Amino acid sequence: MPIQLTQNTPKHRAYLAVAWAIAAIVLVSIPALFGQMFGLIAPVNIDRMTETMCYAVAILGLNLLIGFSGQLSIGHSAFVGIGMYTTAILVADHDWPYLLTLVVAVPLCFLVGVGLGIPALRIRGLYLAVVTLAVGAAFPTLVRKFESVTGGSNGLVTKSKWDPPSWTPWDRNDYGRSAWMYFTILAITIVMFVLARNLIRSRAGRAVMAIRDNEISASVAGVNLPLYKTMIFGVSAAFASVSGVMFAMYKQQATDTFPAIDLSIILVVGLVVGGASTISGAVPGALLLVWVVRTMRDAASSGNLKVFGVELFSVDFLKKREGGGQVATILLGILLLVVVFVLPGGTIDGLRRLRAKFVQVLPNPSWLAHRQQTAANPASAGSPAGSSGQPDPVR
Amino acid sequence: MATETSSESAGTTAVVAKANEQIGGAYRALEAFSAKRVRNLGILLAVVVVFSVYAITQDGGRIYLQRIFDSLNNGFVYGAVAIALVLIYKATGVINFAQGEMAMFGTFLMIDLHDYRGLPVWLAILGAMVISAAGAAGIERTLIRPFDPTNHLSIVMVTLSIFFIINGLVPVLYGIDPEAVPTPFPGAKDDFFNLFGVRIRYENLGIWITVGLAVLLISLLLKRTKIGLAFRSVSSNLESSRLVGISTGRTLQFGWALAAAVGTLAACLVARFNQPIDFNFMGKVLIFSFAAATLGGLDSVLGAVIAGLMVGVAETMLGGYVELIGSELALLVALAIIVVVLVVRPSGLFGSKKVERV
Repeated sequence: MPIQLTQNTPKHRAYLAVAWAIAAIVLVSIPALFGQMFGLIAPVNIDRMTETMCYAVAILGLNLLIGFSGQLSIGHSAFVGIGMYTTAILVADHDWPYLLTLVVAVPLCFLVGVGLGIPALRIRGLYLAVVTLAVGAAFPTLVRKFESVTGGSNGLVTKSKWDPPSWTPWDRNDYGRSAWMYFTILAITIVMFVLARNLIRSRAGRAVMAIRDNEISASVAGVNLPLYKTMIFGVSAAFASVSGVMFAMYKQQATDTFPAIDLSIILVVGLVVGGASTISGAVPGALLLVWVVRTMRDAASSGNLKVFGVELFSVDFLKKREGGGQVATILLGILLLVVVFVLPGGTIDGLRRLRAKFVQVLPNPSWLAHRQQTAANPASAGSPAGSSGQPDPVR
Repeated sequence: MATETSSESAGTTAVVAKANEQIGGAYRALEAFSAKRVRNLGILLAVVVVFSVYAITQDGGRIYLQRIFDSLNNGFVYGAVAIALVLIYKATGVINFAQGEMAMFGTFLMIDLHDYRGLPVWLAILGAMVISAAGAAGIERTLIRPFDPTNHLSIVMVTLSIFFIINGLVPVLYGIDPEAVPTPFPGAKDDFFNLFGVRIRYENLGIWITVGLAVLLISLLLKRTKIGLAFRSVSSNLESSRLVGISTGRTLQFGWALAAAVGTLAACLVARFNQPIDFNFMGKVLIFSFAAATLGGLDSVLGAVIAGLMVGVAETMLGGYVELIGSELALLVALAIIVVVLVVRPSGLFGSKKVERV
């Protein structure tokens, strides 16, 4: 029998507070856990968590477009690439600090995204997929073409500037640098998730979802289709560019092979496996892309399955065979297949169903009505009683 | 026509109806060549003419013709893979991301049958086509049919996972070393004849004829046979087809099998130009075919072939003549042209427009 909590009662608030506190403690203590308590090869594992966050933000941005606005894009690698190269060029050639490059990368990508959103007004579905595919395929080629700026296929190496400042508790060694990078990127990630959540809960977010569910109904209800469709394209591209900036920080270089079509496809896979049309789905999606896929790949190419440096078993068949590393690709395919069949709503949906076995949150009608009225008309917000009759107007 | 009218007036009505029909037909034909369409075609023609004049003055007419003929190879193959994509789009309503990999697997099967089991090339290709068709029918039955046909995201994900599985399976089965590809046509260095001073290889001619025949057979299959009629019916309206007693599952399975066979045929033919091939050789072909299918309109078989030829010609000509573009950017320019065409005609050149109801 699951515990039942009513929304916005003290018990429910306490439950939320405890849940968020646990999440915060886990996130903050990851460097310490991986680095010092278990004595494992610390910076590598911390860096993988950092990489996970980079992927999570990219998936989040893609989800805003595919999951919430229903426009299919398989060219988001280009936006990640633009962010990455903006940062790399500014840091390597003009000596900017990493974080300041966001100021250039985000508006740039937003504008490019809006630009791509304009043809997307006429072209939809799979036709749009081809247009975005063209953009995604274009990016690495353009990078190679404009070699003088981007460094071509040699890539662009930025100087490492991740020495932690003196007020932080870390020393200036590998571990300290990894931890400092982890917290910097964690801060950006949290900001991006909060932004995405607020966007989806706002008037614009509801308009975008209305467009996804039925364009004609949405436009009849007064939603400005061209405005919201191009804007969400731009916003999604901006999220991708932030992810690109994070990747540039994490890798401390920009290469033409990374933001290629494979990345776009991998991001879509992460999106679906994590859970389409959810904000939090980006987290399990990214965890899967970085940890499970990487572990499988390492296992397949070496023939040993190692988790956290502990060898679980080894397969001699793979060691002797050339191309044996490709078994990881097969496993990825099978994994994707299993998720699509068993968890159609993605991992996050499975986790939610699991949670529902233990905790159920019941809606609180009077509180919901009150909140709705406050949102609709902040001036008259006062009495929660008797305001249940007015549904939220579709805008 | 109303039944209660007298025979005389019935005759008159018939004449009027016939005249009306003729006028209607003429009007529709006229409408098809509306001012806008004439303008678009005019722009297209003008661009092609200007480019041709530029190209001929640049390097002379012989090289121009030679390049056109060379580009037809790629064009026909893109067209053939695009047909496979179109067939699956008509059957299932999604782009089959695994199409290129399925065809790639077919090519390796062909090499296997030819090199290690001693079959002649033609039989090996046929055998590979049959095995691919059976495999695709199995995939449709086990992985696609369990899903609601309107659940497109899930089906796309299934095709993506098939992509990964085959892409991983082939190197495990056949190794990662590149393989040479046999050809069913005379393929020695001096197997060619001259036409207007243009060198045409028998091998290329063979590919054009094979793909042409395949297109002819597919359109006959779709237009003249019972299963073809059923397939067109299912792709036009699934619910109604089910109501009139068509076994929709089996019909869609037929579509998948046909698509896989065509794809394998195309890949076996194109592999020769990319040899020695490894397990990633279909990647570029798939992008171009994807583009061709879209340009042609996703639900038109003929459109796919014509668009495939257009993409092939555009790729070679632009890459060959405009130095700034070169062979590397040719892909991009071809895709950019497609984007422009799609902005003007959102459902491709030959695709049927979707009418939406709320």
